[in-house]
Amino acid sequence: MNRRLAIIFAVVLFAGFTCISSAQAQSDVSGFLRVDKRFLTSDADVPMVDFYSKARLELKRWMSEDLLTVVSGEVRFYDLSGVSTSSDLSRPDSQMPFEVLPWEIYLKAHNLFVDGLDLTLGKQRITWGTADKLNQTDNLNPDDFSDIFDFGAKVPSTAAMLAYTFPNDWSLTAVWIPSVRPVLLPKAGGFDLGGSMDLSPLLGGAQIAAQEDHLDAGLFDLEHSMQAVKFAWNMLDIDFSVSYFHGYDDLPVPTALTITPIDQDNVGIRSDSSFMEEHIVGLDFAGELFTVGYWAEVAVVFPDGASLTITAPGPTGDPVIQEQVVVKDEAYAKYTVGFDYTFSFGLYVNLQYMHGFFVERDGHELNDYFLGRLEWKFLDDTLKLALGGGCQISDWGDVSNAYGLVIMPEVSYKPYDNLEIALGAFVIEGEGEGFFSALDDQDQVYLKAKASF
Amino acid sequence: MMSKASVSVLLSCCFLGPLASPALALTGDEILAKVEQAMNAPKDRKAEIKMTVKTKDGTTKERKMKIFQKGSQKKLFTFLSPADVKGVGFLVIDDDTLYLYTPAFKKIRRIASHVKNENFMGTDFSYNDLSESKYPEKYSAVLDKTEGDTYVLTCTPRPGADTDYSKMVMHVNTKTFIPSKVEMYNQAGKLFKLMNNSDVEKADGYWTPKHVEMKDILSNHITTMELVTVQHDRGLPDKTFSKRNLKKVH
Repeated sequence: MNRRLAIIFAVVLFAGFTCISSAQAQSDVSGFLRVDKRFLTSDADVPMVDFYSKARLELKRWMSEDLLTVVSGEVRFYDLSGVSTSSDLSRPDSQMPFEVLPWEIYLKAHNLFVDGLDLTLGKQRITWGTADKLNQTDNLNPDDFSDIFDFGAKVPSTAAMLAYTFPNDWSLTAVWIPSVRPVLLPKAGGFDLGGSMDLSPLLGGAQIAAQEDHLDAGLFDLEHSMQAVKFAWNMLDIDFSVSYFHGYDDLPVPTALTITPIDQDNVGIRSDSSFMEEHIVGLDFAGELFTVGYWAEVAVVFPDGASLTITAPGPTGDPVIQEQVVVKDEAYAKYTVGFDYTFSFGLYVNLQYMHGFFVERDGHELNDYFLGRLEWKFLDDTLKLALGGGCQISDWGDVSNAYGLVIMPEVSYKPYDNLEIALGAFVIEGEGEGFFSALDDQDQVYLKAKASF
Repeated sequence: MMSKASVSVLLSCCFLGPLASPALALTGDEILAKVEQAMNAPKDRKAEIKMTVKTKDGTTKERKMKIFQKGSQKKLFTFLSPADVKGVGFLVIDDDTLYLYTPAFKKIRRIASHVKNENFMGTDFSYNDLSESKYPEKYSAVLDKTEGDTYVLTCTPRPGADTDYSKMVMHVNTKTFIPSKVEMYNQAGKLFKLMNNSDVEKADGYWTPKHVEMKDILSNHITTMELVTVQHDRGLPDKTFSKRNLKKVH
């Protein structure tokens, strides 16, 4: 469906639903507008980041006591004009770039056939795991990296979820997702998918005159559907869940790189990527110890493995083929442990350790991350000071050259209900490989305002 | 910030127990037990509440909540307004098992008891206030005097009990065992909170104050609580107080 049709579809859907909703007592309209301005401070000119503000609308209607329908969507509008040619000046969508995204569209039938059995059908967010945002077992929805600093954000995806809740509140959940769902990357680009490599030895001094990028779209079909199951229970006052997921990694891995001579001085490059099949067994639990909250979450990943085939012209002009392993066919574990506590004077502390960030794959490539957040509210909760931060260690034997630090101070003000204004910054420093160190040049100051309705 | 005993009394006043006959020569502990009994007399309750918080500079904030309760422990709260907290839910299974549902993240999180003394979502309720209601276990009471139709009790923490107050002076109606006024003293022995109940009416056979005012004397903060609707003994099943229902209820 092209962009215009998508917009018309969304508007008609919302309008129709609004008409229906307004006539029903069991209907509900809610949403928010969030204006978000970001400025790069690592550049002397302090340019504005081409980041989006957004408005989200959610329409909910209870068709009966047990049947719920939800339609939500959002409009993202960007700060910078997309005009690049004089003819773009006559195109409103170039002048004022925006995106319309259907967010969640689903129906949920409670107590279907038997008491306690719930079926949710449609585009939905399925949250698994007990960690605070850094959920290693939350793999059913693809990552949303459109805001790279919103760690743990996900995009809803079309799925069928059947959940049975036992009388003691234990539950068994099964999910079927019709096809591979790929990651959502930042519009401005600059996201390393792990395929970057030094090509100069392969080019033999030639220039890259043409580039092609192919993603294996053949996986977006029913043959490549994904399945998951989870059992959750409480024992000894601790909440547990075990889960199993079979599907495909949402981050594509490079599978082929072909360098073809065009003439004596120039070459063309074609890169191919695909989505790696994997099985994930998860375990998580949460409880409290001496009034301190704790949680732990581990995902043991069994990847099918991925290799990159590089085809490049050899010294005689004949193609030379090399194979490189991108992800080994070996199981590895990613895990998160965390604690939180509120002191009597109101300071909230949240600390988490994460082995393996969302973008990291392969047991030999996982880095260690320590993340924390302090929050303190005062003046009748109208003012909140927060200090978030993280530290990434990529090589414990050479920390000074393999680390990343991010500090995220924020002050937010709620002058009255439904409005929150926040001023904050992302200060990043790092060396070597790793998620934080890769963002070393992204120091930013931001101003956000969110109004809810 | 209101603390646990204060709001527990406040909540109890919204869900008061059956009309009881005045008894002769009751001790303070017996009267406090009757207050507790009155609080938990209905098998279950379902109510809609409007809370107005007024700060010392005159700013007011309004909150609407739906509340379900069964027995003395199981409770489920969900915010109806304002919009920025609408849908946020809070489930109490017992004193140590609490869950918070935040619709923005579609996620239920286990809440550890370190938050119990914190206020809940910008209201003057603390998590503890919302989860606790057992006075006789934590306080012993002495009957100071009887003035007309009012018992005046002085309640002090039992040895080893974890309480927010060093003392409470409770004025209890001799017929209904509803506290009409409660003075609360902090750990330094200073009076810092005062609660008054009014508009007491019968609902489903239970005496119920429709209006409760809590004043924080030290911060000059006032919270009023109005009972918009209340229903008792409607046979709420246990599954009402489940994580599954925490997401569903509105």
